[in-house]
Amino acid sequence: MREKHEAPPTPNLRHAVVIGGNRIPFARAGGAYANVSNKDMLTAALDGLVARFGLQGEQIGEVAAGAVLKHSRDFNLTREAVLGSALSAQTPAYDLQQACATGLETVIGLANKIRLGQIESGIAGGVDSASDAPIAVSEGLRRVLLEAARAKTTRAKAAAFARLRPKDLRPSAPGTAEARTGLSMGEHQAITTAEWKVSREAQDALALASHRNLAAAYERGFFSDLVTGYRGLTRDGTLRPETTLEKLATLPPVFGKNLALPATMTAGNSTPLTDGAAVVLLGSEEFARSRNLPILATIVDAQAAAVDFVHGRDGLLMAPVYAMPQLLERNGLTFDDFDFFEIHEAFAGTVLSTLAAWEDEDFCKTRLGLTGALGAIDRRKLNVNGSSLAAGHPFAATGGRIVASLAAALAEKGSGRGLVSVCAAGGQGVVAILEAR
Amino acid sequence: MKRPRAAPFDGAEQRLAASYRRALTQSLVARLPGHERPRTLPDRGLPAEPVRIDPRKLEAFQRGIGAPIRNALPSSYLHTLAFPQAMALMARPDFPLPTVGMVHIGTVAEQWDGVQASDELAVESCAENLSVRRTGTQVDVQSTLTRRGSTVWAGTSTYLAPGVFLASPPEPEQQRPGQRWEAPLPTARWHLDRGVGRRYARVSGDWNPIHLGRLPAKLLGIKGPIAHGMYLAGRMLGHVGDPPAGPLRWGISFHTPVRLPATLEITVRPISPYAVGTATTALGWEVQGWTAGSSRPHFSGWIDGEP
Repeated sequence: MREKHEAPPTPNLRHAVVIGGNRIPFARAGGAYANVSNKDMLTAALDGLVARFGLQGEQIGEVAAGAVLKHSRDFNLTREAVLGSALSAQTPAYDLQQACATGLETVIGLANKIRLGQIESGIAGGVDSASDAPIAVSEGLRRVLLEAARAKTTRAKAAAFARLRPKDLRPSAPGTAEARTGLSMGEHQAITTAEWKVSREAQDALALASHRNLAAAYERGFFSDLVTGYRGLTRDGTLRPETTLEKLATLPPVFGKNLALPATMTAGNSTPLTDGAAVVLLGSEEFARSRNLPILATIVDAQAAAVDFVHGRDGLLMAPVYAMPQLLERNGLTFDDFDFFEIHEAFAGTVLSTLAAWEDEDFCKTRLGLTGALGAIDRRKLNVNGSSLAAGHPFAATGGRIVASLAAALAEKGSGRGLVSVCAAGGQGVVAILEAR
Repeated sequence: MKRPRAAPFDGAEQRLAASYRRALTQSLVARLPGHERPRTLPDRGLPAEPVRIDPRKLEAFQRGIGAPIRNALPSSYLHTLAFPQAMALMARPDFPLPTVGMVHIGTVAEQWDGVQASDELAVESCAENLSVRRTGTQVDVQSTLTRRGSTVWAGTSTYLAPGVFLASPPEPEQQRPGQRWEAPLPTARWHLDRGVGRRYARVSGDWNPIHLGRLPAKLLGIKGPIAHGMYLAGRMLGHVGDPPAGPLRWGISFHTPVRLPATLEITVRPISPYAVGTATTALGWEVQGWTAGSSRPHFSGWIDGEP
């Protein structure tokens, strides 16, 4: 059974607002940030935010962030980054992990605490490094080491080590394969892309738009208030302003090559592995006003959903399709009420499958329980300042990038609403509404 | 897969090994001039006998098929518990088919209640439905597990003795057009390394040489090791998730052997049509496994009961 949420009678809730954001440029894995860690990058992103908003020595209500690829030694990653930053050492922090939705979920969690009056300010965000990924010992070696550690006698220790086999000495690096299916995220999306019959041309066109929009946003200085250079990088390392449809069309397919249908997903219309960090400063209106800080947007509401991809009911990355109608219904809104749509481009195919599902009357009736299609999105309002295909996608950092960029776009326009949609591993998805001030 | 810490062989495995030895001897004896196998199934099966559950082996089995280490036994493990007796039945001199070279072509099982490692179970087996097919003679071996007198699990495995005809074979079926199998979109991928057969032998006790390595398989006339059918069944149930409390019905048919190592494309689909809205009830699941680019699946199975 799906949970139904009625609009809650919440007269006492106050607004949580986005004051600003800061991120470091995202770098291709193995590139500019190859030798820095998650903690380094998160600290750098926090330092930039502190500098932008004069928060040196300030005690923030709470800092929440996370990383998807995380070393076990970094169990307190966010708190450690806070201690290394210019914020007051008395600023509490916690780590959160919801795969690629980590960043957006930290925003929602802290915004809710602000709305409830539990904190006045918060910094939400995330970081990921595909370059500095943790490498673990094999499962076989790990079990032998643990058993040897538990063994009380030398003989028992020796017995544990005697069970070691040469193949146990191979290290195991984290992959992008889903634990339950053994398929990588790209392979999963290739199946969904094929199910929704999304063409190679449509995917390449979306990738091209992402690069052009991001390049244009950099050109007009949109990111001057949002990005702080780091390690010699001043723009996202994966941005290709000069790319063309012709160039994208020459790239060979990388996912879905085992399917009976033509493979359409390439390195050009899929996000590359990326390193980076992003943070967002949130607060109550009073907090912002008392410090003379800008108010870019209000965080209105959010919704998470999950799909059963294990039993073939839905594609791995299709959960936002389910979250969206719940969010819109609760807020009495339709797609027509929005001026900006930020749909995370895990793959061009993800965005296009998601849009196709919302436009499909049969799917919306039978699967979403609606009376008709949820509707079409005006493509001129979609990812207007570029998204993950061009900027890159350091998993946990993407939510912070999107929220800060959308809030800035709403502030620039001076009116309207924006919708965020982020898919995540494990068949999960989170959507959110922001509103201009 | 975790190696069990228990002794490498327990009573059940010694019995299985003895059954395989007896089967091998009989296959040699059967070649002697003047030797004749019985042409009918034995009148009665093997009587009820207690089953011992080794928690360490159970844990290794659960890990090996990707099932959670929980108190309830995987339904496929109940087959493993019943298998030594079924094998003993087939290795008896009065069994009409040669066990060596016999092919496992499918299993159907029903479980009425969840089973815990501490439960005291008894197993009973019998053979039935001896029938001549186009490619040989097949037989159903039925095993029943009871707990305090009531049946908790029953499974029927069908085995084919290829090239053995206890009567004249039926006319070949007319090939119906439009029956070509087309690979569906996968929902998962299994990587089976070369050692899967040996590791599954260790946790299940089924040391049939055709699963163990190139040399043992070659001695029995096949090119290389193949995956245990029941390993695939266990993975299937572990993947879809069998409900710990039962009741549950499942079945699997094996079409072509899975030669190790292998990469299998897997698809899981709900059997029932979707209910309106986002209700998650399904009557059951269909599962298929195949090698990319092949024209036939290796296996197809189904599971009833909401996982």
